[in-house]
Amino acid sequence: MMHDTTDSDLEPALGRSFSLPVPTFSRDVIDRRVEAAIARDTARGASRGRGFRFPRPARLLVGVAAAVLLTGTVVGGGTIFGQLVGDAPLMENVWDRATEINQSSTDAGYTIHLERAAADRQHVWVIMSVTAASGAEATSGRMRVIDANGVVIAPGTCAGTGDVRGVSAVLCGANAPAGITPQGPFTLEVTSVSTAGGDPRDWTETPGHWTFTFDVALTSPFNPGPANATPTHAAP
Amino acid sequence: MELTQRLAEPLDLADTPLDDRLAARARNDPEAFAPLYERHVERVYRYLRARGANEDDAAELAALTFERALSNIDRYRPGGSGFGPWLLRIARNAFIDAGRRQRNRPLDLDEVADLTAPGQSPEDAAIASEERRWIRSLVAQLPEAQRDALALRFAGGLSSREIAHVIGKSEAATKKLLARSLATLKEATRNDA
Repeated sequence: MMHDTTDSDLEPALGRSFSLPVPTFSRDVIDRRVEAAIARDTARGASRGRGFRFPRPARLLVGVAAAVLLTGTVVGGGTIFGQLVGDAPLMENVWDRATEINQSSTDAGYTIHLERAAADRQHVWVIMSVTAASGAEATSGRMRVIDANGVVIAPGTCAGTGDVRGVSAVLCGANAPAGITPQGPFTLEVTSVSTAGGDPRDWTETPGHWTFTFDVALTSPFNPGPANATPTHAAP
Repeated sequence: MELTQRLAEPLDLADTPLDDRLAARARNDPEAFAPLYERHVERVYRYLRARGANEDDAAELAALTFERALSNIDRYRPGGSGFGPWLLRIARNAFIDAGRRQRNRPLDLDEVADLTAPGQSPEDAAIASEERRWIRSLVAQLPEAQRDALALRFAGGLSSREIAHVIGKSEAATKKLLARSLATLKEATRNDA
């Protein structure tokens, strides 16, 4: 076929070639996903307004922490997270199947301890605790996981323990991009921590660099357990 | 360079101030994100398709783009290069991440060829379809950076300055890249004709 494209009609031709309509079924897929994301964010409400970070220590689990404080009950290992997983099915599931990493990194007055990690074909799970030298209530903030091929695995579902005796712990499942299976070794980069203020909404973010390198074998997919057992957070 | 001077700025640029207002509202009211989504979903989808994603992948990556944008809306800075370029930067990153293990994937030319505009006669549709297939097959042979620049320009509707922001180059370098892309493509159309 003869195509007589000249200088003057090349750009319009490019415009026409790339002006693809969104097929109805594709639009439906995108609509549903975005509507769900908006609904999740709307439900989460007050957690917005100060830059993305992991959710504050999960309210539902504060009760668990309080129970530990009151009863001295110890479930699992000797670390703080090990003490708190007993009543949270997702955490218990991941905690039990995760590999112990036990690495610490300190910066900007905060020590982050990567306690355990796990990975399946779609996620990398990290379990961290945060301790502030000042004794303030703190939790991990911005983070990302990078796999062996340089694929950035964005943070996804997270749940925290709340502050317990000056330490808080958070479990986060980082979602691999569509169609990509994470491959270790992995690098976890935490670039900020959040510190509680007087008002529950008045948390401040402290930048820093806490980096961990670890490797875990891929396991079968995790069963997240009852949906109401842990709060979730959808993030990039 | 004549081609550089000739690159007309797209006429359908988003209303940046309105985008900024909506983005500011969406920080505290996620439902304010809905009109932002409506305003930009087509350009994001078109950009991903122009990069070579098939319909399913483009839908998945477009959804991922808006999910990430909503989650990171606090990080959007009004008054900068605009919401559209910010969004397309997210889409571009999502495409690159997803494509790391799917390199050299052929363009989905059959799907492109079957698209027809409403009201087109079958003959016009066939000609248009053939043109799309031909142009896209030529674009597919360009270097990655040139394909990306053309997709941002002609599918994403971005200006040179906005493209520069998305790809992390200077505006001058971006104009040169676009001019070079068009020159290469023009040469390809002559050789292929």
